[in-house]
Amino acid sequence: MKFFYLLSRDIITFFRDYRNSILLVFMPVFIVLLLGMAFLNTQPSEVPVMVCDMEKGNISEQIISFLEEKETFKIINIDENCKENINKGIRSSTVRAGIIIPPNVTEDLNQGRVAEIEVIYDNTKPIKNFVVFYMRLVSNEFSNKLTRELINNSWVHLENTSSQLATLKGDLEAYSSDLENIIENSKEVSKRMDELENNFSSSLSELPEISVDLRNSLKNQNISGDIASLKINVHKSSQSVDNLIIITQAMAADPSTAAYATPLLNNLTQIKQTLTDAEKDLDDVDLKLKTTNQNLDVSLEKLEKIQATNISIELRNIITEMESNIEVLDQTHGSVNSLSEKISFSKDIFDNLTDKDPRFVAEPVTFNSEEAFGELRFIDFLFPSIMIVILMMISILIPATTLVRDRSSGLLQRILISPIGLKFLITEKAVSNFSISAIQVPFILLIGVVFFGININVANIIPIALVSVITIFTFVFLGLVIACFSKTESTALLASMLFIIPMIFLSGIFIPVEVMPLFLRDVTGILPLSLSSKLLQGAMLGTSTADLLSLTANLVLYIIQYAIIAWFVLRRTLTI
Amino acid sequence: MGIVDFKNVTVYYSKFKALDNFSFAVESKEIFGLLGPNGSGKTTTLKVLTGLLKPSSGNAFINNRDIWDNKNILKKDIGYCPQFNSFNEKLTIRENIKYFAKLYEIEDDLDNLAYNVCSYLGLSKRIDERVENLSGGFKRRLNIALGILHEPKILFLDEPSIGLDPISRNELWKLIKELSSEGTTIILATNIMEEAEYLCDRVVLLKNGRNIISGTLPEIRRKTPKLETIVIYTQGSYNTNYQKIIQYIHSLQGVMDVEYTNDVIRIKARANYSDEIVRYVVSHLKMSSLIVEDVKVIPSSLIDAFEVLVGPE
Repeated sequence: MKFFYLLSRDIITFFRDYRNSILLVFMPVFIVLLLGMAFLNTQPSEVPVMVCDMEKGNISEQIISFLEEKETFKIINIDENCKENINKGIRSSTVRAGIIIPPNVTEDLNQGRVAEIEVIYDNTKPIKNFVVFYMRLVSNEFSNKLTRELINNSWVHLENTSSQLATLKGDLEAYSSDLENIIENSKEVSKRMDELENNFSSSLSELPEISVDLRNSLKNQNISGDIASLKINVHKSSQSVDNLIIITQAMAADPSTAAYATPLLNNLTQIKQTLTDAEKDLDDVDLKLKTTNQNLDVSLEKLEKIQATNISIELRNIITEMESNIEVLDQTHGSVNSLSEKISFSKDIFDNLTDKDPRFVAEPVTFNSEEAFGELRFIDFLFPSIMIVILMMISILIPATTLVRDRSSGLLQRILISPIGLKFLITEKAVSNFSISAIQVPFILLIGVVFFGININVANIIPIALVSVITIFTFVFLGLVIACFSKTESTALLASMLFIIPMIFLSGIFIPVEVMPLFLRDVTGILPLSLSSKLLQGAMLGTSTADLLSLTANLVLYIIQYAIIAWFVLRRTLTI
Repeated sequence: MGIVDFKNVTVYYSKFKALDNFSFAVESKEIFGLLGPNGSGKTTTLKVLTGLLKPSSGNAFINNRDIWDNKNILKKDIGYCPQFNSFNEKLTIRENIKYFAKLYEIEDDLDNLAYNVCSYLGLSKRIDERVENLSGGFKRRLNIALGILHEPKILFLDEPSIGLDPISRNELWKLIKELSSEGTTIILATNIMEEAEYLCDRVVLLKNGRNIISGTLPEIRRKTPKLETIVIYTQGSYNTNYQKIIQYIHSLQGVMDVEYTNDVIRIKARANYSDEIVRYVVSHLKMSSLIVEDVKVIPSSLIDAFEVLVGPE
């Protein structure tokens, strides 16, 4: 009972100062609201950026629209003294960055040159990382857009080229096939010529003899004379018939003989016509014979000439030439086939390429991000950390300052002179300070639920309470340790800041651990604030962010070591 | 052996020797004074006596029990009133008394106890007022009330009248006398000689943690050289060179100290040289065109003896 009486008096003492009561309630409300609002939106918006468009052309307008589409930037257009105005704006904190679009951007791009756009940013503000990141993002997106357009155009050309290659390939295949036929034919011709040459070689030996025979035949057979005598005879016969016709005509005119003579006259007329025709035919035959003779003469001459030329050698040359041509044709055929294959290969490459999305070339790799925690928001994760930060501040500051005050006033020594022991005193102080800090927990949770829509499951209330208890005790004991080393309240306050501020900034709650140097990252992992924060996140969100048991064990270890240090140091320092 | 026995106690704070082979004994029911300038070791002595500090060497006893070894047993026998008011300002007098009664494991009717203690110390009318609203005198009384509410056999008072106006101080002194008369042994640490002279049966003079002298006040007076303070009231002019006059007085035999403020010269001197000093000084002042209005010779107090013994810091 003694313990609880003393405990209640300590708590009453704290709350009898109405400022303490007000601060204890409103401080968490204020801080949670402030930090919650500050970190509700993690993306920067309306970052003031000056844009100096020296081109005022198509591309520069596209770039500016691109920037305006991103709500990240609030564009302030300037026209002159670009660099000077931007630097002035940055130095006066009016803007965080400036973009200078040179006058030749469109031309550069049209000429296939890289367009260089100057970005000047404020490297002294934390926003610089966001500015640089978003500028790069915009630059990449815009470059990708241009690249996609370029690639899309190229794709059309590639597809056309592929189509043309397909036609060429077909032509080459047909040509190759033709060549094959030609080669086959040439071989056949060559073969036949070879046979011809063989035949010719054997015929050539008989050719002089034939020539002589022909000549002799032409000389020996007087066909032309025969035809001439025949022609005379026919002519004589024709004249005789003419006479007969005259006689017959006279007879036909005589009615007495007319009956007899008329048919005879007709026959004689017909015979006359036949003889006339025969005369003409004989003339023709004679003419033809003469022509034949002439032709024979020519042929003989030719035969004689043939005899004179070595046809066989000519043929052989022709055959050799043909074989050489066949070889060339073979090679040509091979080349055509090879060309066809190459064209086919090229076409395949084009086809493979054009089968793919043009984006493949512009952005061959795309990272598709997925939110591992689904519908959970950043504030859902941040809220437990804010809660822990507030609990930490209160839990450290109150014991640190009150214990120092009690000690410097002599109250602590006076209490220690009484029959209670140091362990009792430390425990009582820890529990009373714990009770004061714990009052804030429901307030903070209420603010989280009401203002930030934090979802607190009924099942999670006990884990949250347990984590709060461990956390508060950890920091209360740290506060007691700080008090043990501090002689005045201001020292305790400053010493508390020495722990609180680095813990806030190194715990990874507000500044990502990844931006810290490697050696600090190890420290981050073992800070009580980091451990508590992870533990409460786990308890509130039901997400197993780490081994909860190990985190709890580490915090309990902190409590034990702080308690030991407090006991040891108080034991020593209270006597001084 | 007295109720409190401090035997050859030496205490070091790191390399600093706060008490150096310090010894004294306190008899039952007496008021014993620990006298000394700041930093002489008075508070360290009280810390050893209250069991807050273990001596580096030597022993301290209460009722023949080593304090450090038996502090848990002895705690109920001792009461402690620290130099500064040590209680909870936000609580009422009653709540503070009940709080300390709980600390001392008093199981009686605590409201009744609070009332009795307050009546004894003249606090009953304001028993339910918050301490922060009380005057310095009432706070001092409460400070004592918290030290005596468990009726300790020995009460340690650390400079109890510090910061009090003369009326409150006199009331406090009467209270301390009353406590002593009721049988409480009181050990009083003070650097106010007047307080020691008024309250203490015996004193010990401390300097640099060492016992310079101890005994009853008459004994100390006997042991110390007799001093007198010669006070000369003058009327000087604007061009009087007091610096030269003071130098002259310093050069006289038997002069311990000279002070000049507002036309008054105070000379601390050995008693057997007083007449001679007065003669020489008055003569010198007249030669220096100063009008001597009055001369008083005051016998030395314990303060003067203390100063002679303790010497310059």
